[in-house]
Amino acid sequence: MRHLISHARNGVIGLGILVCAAMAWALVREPDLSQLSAMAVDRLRMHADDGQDAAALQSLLLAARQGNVEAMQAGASVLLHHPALDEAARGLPLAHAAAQQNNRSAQYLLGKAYFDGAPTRPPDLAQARNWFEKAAAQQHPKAAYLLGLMFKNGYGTAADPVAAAAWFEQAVELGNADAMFMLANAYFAGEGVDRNPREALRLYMKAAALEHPLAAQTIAYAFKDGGLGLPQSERQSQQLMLGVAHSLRHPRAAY
Amino acid sequence: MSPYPILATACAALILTACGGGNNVTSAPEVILLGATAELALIETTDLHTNIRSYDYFKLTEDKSIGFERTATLIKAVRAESKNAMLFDNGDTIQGTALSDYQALVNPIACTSTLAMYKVMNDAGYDAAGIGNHEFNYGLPYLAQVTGSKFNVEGMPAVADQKKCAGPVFPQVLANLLSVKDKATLFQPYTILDKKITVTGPDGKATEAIVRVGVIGFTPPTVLSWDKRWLDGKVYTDGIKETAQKYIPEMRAKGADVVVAISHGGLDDSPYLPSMENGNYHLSLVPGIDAMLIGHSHQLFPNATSTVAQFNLPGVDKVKGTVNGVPTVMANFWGQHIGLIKLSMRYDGKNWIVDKTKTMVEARSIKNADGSFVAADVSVAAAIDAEHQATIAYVKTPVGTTDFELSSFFADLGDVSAIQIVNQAQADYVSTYIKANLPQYAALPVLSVSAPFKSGFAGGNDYTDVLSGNVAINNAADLYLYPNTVYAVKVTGTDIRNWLETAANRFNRIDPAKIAAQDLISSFPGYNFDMFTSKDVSYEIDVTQDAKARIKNLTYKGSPMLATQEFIIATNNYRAGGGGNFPGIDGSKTIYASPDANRDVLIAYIKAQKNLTLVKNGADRSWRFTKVATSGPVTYKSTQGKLPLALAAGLTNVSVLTADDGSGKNLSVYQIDLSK
Repeated sequence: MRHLISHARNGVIGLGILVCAAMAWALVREPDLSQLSAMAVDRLRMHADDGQDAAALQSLLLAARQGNVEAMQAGASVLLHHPALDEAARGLPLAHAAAQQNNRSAQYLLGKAYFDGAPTRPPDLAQARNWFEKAAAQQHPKAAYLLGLMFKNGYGTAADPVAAAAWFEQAVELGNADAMFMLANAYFAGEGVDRNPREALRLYMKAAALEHPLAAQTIAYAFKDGGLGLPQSERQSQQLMLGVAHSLRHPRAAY
Repeated sequence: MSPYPILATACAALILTACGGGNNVTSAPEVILLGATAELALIETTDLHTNIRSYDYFKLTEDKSIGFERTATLIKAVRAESKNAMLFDNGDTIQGTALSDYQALVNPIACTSTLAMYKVMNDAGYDAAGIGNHEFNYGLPYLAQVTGSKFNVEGMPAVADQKKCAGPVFPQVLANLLSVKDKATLFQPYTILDKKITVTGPDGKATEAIVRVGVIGFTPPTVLSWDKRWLDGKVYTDGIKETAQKYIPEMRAKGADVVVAISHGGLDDSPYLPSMENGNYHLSLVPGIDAMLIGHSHQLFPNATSTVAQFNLPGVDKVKGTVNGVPTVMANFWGQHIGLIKLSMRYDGKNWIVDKTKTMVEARSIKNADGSFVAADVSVAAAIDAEHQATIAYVKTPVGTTDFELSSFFADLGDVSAIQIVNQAQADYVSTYIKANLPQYAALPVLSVSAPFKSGFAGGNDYTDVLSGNVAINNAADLYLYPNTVYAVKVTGTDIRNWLETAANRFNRIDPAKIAAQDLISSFPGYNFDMFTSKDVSYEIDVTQDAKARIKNLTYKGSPMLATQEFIIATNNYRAGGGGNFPGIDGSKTIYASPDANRDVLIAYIKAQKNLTLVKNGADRSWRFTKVATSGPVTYKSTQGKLPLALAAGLTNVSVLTADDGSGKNLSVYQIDLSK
């Protein structure tokens, strides 16, 4: 009996030691952040970026190392916009890694990094187009919009208004207000599409409803001079223009 | 993620509940019996933007379609019909008119004074208010001052060294904006108000009771990107949903019978992300919210006829005014409407419970059905008359003088008197910015383009005309009509040529052989007739040519402008972003998107210059028409009696053909001799 109790006690102590060891190990070892949700990642990104929270950035980069693709994308976006150039340079390989895992936001981010270039690296329009196309194939609205701009202007390719309009059309279907505005311009001028002022007006209206300041200003001008088939109305024009003044103070990131 | 914070919150909640926070029967003036009922009216204003008077400070005229002095009348009407009314503001309150600029920038308000907007809100008896994004437009120290707050943020003195200034007498709440320094919210995240109300007892008799109303505030998480220059490195935001999930149980545990969310933002049903701008669709799904007062989008909700996408989402009832069952209002902007939610409540023996099925939601307009407007509440104007008059005086105050008349009567023919000053101000502003912040472009020449914004479309009075003498703020509005902001684009010589070719569409193609009179001006709008006014740039417009082949002899500093030569052009957001569809100018060449309005940049420039002279600021013509003899007259309409101005501007080839064009719009037909 005593033996049994002693045995049991040893067992308990042993178990205790095991538990303590496990706890100690758990303390030293990195937490497993591989399964962080997209929401949690976005929150860490906000804290790491605007909040300049170094711990949040470390968590993002740890989750990224552990294979969390959203965290790779978010970490890359924080790094790419980092004011310190050496930090910013770390963003590109991370964006690459995420983009190669078929994450469309990362593909867009990478394309945009190549499109813009940086003080230490010139733009690479072929790479930009490559990654925008991959992102657009996965219905990324801004990627489709930027492809439209590339074909419209002949950036890294021959200018092709028809292809530009087609990309804008795709971005419009995905709800991108900038593309609505650009496609409206194209319909008004007949660039890459048959001239159609009615369709232009419809698209300007659609963009203006999303508080696109330029679209609203275009309609305001049209009310002023009776353009786009609108009835002339100084009152409507002024109302819209005042709305423009307001929305200009908080624009959506243009692209 | 660790479960401990949740446990800790749960424990705290239990303790608070045990301490009696959840039961307020004892605090009521009389014991309320099971089954008592009451109605609580929640009134919302939003996006007032300091439109206190029904007044347009740039035109210096009354505008009855806006203004809190009329909104206040609607508020009083609700108070008259509803015994238990509470008043809340959603934010975007302290910025937006010349009056707000006057108090923030021109004659900064003293620490001991209350902001005009808050004065009238104090008088109106607001119960609580949220904080929008525009509250941050004048920076954090100003916001701290006028709200009577102290902020523990980078760049401000230690909290102990900050003075508490005069602010609103009602609480302001903001739960999702935090200081980088201490990770605490700048304002209290929520408040719980003990509201004394009249209720109907189970016996049908009126009696008094206390209802505890919890009020929590949110701002768009994206505010950081809009006021970066004030906020970068100082504050950060959290998502709306998780912030609500954190605080609402806490508010309930502290005894809130009713929870009102004041959230500056609209609705967006795309998958939730903490960084989303308009997170209130998802906020409505957080348990425990009885009413949402929303804003920011300058729209109206409920509104049965709304075609706005955000009010036509699944779960959004634009007739009843609910979002996923939560009563919701958005009260338009500038005081044009109030939002009204009448909550029906029943006492269950412990708490007041809201019966969402009996709740009424509506928006009320200051515009009557017959098109007239409700009368102004005269006490509002009286309360801020000094500030109103001071603002009018400020708008009329000379910021400089001019020795020449700045007018656009003949801008289409080459008079630059109303345009050059705008170009000079824009170029100066952009050059200064590039030198300080964009060294990679410092070697490129900075040029500027602008257009005659008022060019007679509506008749002879639709021109810019600033007489010689004093130049005041309201004159600047005449010189720069639109609310644009300054943008800079990086372009090549080819882009500039294309730009000017597009602008040259302002002119009809003139056939030199034609005997009949030909109108010079086409239907291409004047505001798109961009031009340089610089000694460094010179070009001709040949109106006898087809479109896209009219720009001749384009030179920079006396040499032909090279196709690949690079320039920075100062312009406005409309043009830089693709407005007017100028080739290649579509946002992709923007190197600087300034938050500053062209008009404000112009005012600052005139202030710095003090005395404008024709030689310095009004005589640098960059373009001329290519000379050509025409068989018939080329005509141009402008205001009657202005020929001397054309001659003064050196346009000696202009003469009067018909003194009155017969349109009744104060127009003459002028003739331009293109051979001279």
